[in-house]
Amino acid sequence: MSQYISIYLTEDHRHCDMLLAQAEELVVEKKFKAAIVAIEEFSKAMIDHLEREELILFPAFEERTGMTEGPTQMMRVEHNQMRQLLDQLNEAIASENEKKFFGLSETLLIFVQQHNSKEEQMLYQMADKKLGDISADIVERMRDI
Amino acid sequence: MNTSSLSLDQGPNISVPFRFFYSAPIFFILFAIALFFTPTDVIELRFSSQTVALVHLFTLGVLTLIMFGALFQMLPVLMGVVVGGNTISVWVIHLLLLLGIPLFSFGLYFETGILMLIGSFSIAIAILLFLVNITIDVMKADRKGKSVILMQISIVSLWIALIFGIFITLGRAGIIEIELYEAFSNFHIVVALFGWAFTLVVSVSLSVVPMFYVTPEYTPGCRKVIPLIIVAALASFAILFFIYPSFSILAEFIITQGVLMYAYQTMKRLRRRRRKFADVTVSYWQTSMITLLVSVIFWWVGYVEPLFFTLSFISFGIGFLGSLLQGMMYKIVPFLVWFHLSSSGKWDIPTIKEIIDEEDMWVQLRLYQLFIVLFFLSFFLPIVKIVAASILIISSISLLINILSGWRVYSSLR
Repeated sequence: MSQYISIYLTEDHRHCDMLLAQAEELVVEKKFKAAIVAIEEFSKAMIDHLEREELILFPAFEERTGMTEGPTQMMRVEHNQMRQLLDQLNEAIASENEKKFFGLSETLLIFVQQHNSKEEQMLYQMADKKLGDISADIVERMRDI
Repeated sequence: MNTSSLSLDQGPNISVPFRFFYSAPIFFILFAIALFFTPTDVIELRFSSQTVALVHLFTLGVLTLIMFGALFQMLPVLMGVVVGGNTISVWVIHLLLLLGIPLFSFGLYFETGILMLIGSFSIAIAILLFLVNITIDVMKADRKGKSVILMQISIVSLWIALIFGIFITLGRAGIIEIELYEAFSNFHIVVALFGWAFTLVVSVSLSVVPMFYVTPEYTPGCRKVIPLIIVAALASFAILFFIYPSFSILAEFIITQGVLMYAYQTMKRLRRRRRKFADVTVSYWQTSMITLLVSVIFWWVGYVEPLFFTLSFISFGIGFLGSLLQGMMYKIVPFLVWFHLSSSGKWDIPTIKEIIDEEDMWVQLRLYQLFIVLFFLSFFLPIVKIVAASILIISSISLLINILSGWRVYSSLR
């Protein structure tokens, strides 16, 4: 298991992507009950991921770099946009509105990907460098969420 | 990495990529009209003024404008390189291209030296400004990123293509004398098509195919080997064109390996994507990869029947690059509309899939596919070319209308 912040959180991104794709597959097959469960699982994985960053990584990063209004703040804003999309996605699947569901899942996925790209290419690399001495501890605490 | 360079903000103003995206279909329409009036046997003559004009109307007016628009948007996200997004330089670059490309193409087509020179000067300044804006940051970017090395090769190639292009234009206008005119032209074509355009597309694919379609990542081996093949091929072309032109087939063989590897790996990933539902942009990618493979086959058939060299270029430019970039616009435009509306705090907004009518995008894709097939056919049955060009005019107008609906949604809700 990786002790690098970048590797751990990047794998977490891929895990979430996979869960959303699985849920989409179930909706394509019109298995709505299974899709509701799959979306719940995906939502939980997403919320956990956002909390790993907001409660553990970002405060540590901000404390070490002194940057409280910079990149982490921008990421928090985008996290809130994701939470709203997640709520809408859950509503769409609960009402079995297939068209709305795919519109929202596409929107969420593309939005999440550009967000992830910024984190993976910049923020996580930076975190690995700035928090290298405590990265094992940070990863351990993130695993507990 | 320097903390001060860490910019995770919202990217450039929406008007920055949009001004390039909305100009490209207009040049596509102009290209289709020019194609309508140009006989097929003239297009077959590689160095005829009309062919060179058509080629540049498409490669600069359509391809480069979309690529510039996409780079202004994607460089901050993929590489952390912030391009002078809202500065005056974007406005100047766009305006110079908008003036330069028609003047250059018109001047070439009707062999009016002064228009060609003014147009080429305008284009050269625009590309130079673009390169000056991004080169240092792109070259300094951390090479750990999966797209970085390829992006660097692409940018260096654009510099080389620009310099060679300037020399060729001055030579064509009779201002300077170029002894090895054919070698200069061939190298300009190879560097522009493979060094700049192909490499840029590969670079972006490595990031966006796994991201947008949830596919397996490209293997690290593939990510390392493709740049090596591209650099080896470009170096071989440089040596062979200028010193041993009759052996240039060796460089063609090398680049074929890179093209085949990229096409195979991309098709494999698209087939194994986790998001299986119908998506017009996936069909655009598939059309692009199939025409890329067709261009390779046509190239080698060209040694038996030289007409296929021309068809290979068409398959590569119009098929592979044209399809892929239109597909990318259909992915980027709705996202940017949604993203900028949502970031300004608006939530009662359409989803990405509701911004451009899906049925209209499918119709436009089918028209474009039909055009490609008919255009190939027109080299064997010239009368078909008028039908092909007419379909391209409709397809390009449809493309413009489709992406304009993005702007309509944005301006009505912002």
